[in-house]
Amino acid sequence: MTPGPITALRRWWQLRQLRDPRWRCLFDTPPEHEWVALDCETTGLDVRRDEIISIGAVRIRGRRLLTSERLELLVRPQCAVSPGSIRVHQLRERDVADGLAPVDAATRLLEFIGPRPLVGYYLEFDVAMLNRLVRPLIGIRLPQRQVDVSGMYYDLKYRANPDAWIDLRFATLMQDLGLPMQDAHRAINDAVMAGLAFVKLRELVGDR
Amino acid sequence: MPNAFPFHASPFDCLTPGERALVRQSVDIVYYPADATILSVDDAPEHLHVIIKGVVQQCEGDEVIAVHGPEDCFDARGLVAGRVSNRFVAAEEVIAYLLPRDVVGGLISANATFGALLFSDLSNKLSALAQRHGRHELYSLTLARVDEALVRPPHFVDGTTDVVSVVHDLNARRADHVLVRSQRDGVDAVGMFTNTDLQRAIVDGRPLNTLPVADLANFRLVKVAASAPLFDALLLMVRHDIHRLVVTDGERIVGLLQQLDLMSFLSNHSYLIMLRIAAARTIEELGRAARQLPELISLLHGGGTRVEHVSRLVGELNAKLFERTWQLVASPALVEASCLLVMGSEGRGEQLLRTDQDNGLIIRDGFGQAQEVAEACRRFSAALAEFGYPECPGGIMLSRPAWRGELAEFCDRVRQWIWHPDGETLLSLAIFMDARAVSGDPALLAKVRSAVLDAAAHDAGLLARFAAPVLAFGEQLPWWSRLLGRGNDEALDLKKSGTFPIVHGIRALALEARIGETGTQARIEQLLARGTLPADLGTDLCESLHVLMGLKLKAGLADLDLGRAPGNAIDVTQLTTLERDLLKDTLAIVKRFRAWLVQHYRLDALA
Repeated sequence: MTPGPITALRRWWQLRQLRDPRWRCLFDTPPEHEWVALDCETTGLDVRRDEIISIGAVRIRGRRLLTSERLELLVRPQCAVSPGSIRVHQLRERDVADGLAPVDAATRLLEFIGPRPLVGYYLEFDVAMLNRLVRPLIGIRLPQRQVDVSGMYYDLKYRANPDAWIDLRFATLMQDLGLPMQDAHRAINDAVMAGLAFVKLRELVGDR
Repeated sequence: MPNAFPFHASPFDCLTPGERALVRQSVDIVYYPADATILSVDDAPEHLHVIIKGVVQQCEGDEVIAVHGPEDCFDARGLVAGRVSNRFVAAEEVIAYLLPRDVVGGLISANATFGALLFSDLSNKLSALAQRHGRHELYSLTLARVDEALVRPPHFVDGTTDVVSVVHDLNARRADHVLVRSQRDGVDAVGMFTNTDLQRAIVDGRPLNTLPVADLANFRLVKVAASAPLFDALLLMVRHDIHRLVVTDGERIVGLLQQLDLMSFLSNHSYLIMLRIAAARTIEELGRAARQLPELISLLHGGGTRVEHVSRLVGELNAKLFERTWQLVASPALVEASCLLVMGSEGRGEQLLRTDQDNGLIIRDGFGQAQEVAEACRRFSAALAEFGYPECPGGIMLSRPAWRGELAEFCDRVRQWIWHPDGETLLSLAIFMDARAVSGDPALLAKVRSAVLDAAAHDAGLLARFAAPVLAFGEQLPWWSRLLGRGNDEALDLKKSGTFPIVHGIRALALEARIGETGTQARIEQLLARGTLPADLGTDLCESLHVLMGLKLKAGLADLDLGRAPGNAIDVTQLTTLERDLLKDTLAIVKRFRAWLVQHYRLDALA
């Protein structure tokens, strides 16, 4: 895929803003048919105030999820973990107290992703959260291409029946695609499930 | 999701916590859309697939030889051999774990139970393949020698070769060992270099690209002659705690025997059970062998052996067991002067799981000794009941006077059945039609059989009455609604709806055409050869029978797992989509056959 003029311009701008030349690798041509599915668990849903406490990421190669090369990180938050979110992800403050410092977590994650496009469910939220970790380190936001599974699913459903209301909840999406749900709200599991949905949707709607 | 790996299922249930962690670390997950080819013939597989969801068909040519579902793994055989010999296709969308080849290999060498479980499955696949080519008897009849197992050809390098080149060579051949030729104290010697020695080489400290491999090879090789019994090879491996033996023919090295290959060979259960039956000196010893049969059947079925091969093998093992039992309870004179029969499904060779005893005894005219005969027969039935073959509720057993007798008496009896037919005698006739000799003088059975065929074959009225029960469980069964599971969780009776109409209809046709064969498939082949049965119907009936037997076996094994007696009922909601489709087709064929029989025997006029 040749980048359009706006993409090219943004790329040029981001490269200029890049703080450390070692991260130029994020702008390389990604290996063919490879993606990184990721998911974050956070202290809450406020993109400005809440913090990431765990990150799960897994590489996708073609139809394969390389769970053997997965990345699972715990991040030490600066503020308290809200009781409501503990109920969702079951990580208590003491569980994340041994986590990595945000800057180390960001380094590990960027090394893992490299130039590969990102895949996730409502990826916008995760990327917004991650950008707060990444920006202090490299000076820019995550530059990789992003593919949202809920968007692919929406397109598929819309194409089949433009008038219907489309339920985009993750459990509904997985069930409708006939994919197994396992132990949701652990970052790595959510990343793997989103990856699986991506692989199947790619079969159904063609390449992205 | 890697933490959801099926560690509760065989063979992974025997892994230690450390090994489980290794599996969790090394698995990938893969997605295949429906109809995708997962492995093709001659592929070198890099992974063991463990199915999470979906169904995979294993095909040879266009023929499906096995179906794998969730928690099943494939293709262990191809993984060990380094080459896949069947095609694996996603019958429906498949999600599977991928466990790398080297991890599986590591688990096999570290955990003997895992290896045995993986190979018990594997060896049965191998024996299934062997059976397809008619070579199965090779294992069951001879005491195995080393060269009957898979002896891998030797591969040599010169002792002066550096370690790095040797590792390149190992890599290229996907091997983990190589033989090393060298001079030791002025004489030619052969040693072995393995992956373990490579670790020593690295620790050695000298640069690997100049380190001659002979310095690290092991020259104290343990050898075994190609003609030695395979058990000796196993003993040597255990005694020296090693995984490989050098196989020699005189002074010459002809190959290497690996523990994997040895285990895969020895875990061929049918062979072991056959040996135990032949060696049994008491009823108790026989009983121990008999109790292994259900496990064998379960393994064979799980291993993807075709159901007709399973039934044939089980039939043979049962026959051997009955013969040995008879030899232990009856005097040699009686054994020699009589013919022990098995009847019903056992006689047809279509028995799968143990059900009732159906047997009889024909004795040479003038043998007398009524007391001795009765006592031997009583002990025979009691022994079989002890082994887990329940007594026949209809009393069709040689311990009842009605099912044993001297030749003339027996011939008379069967003629009476034919001349004065009623429900009872027609049933006896049907059961006797399937009689097969398992011990003693088969000529006795042949004589009674020709008496039956002579008396019955031209009696059109009798033949029609004989065939009529095919309609007894007629069309009132709402198959389709049950198949589709519409508000009806009642189980489907496979015997009434499918097996019985096929078996009995064919039996009636065989009686009419004076066919002496007892197996349904063999009868169909004869009927086809004579043009009695339309060719397409005959082939369809054979396949239908095998589908029904397969379903019954699966349901029966599930019953045994739950501690219930296996029956004829299956719960259609438990079937996979594929099985449901097959069953639907099968029942349609049974219906067609029934209609054909009605016309053939003018059964509509009979009522």
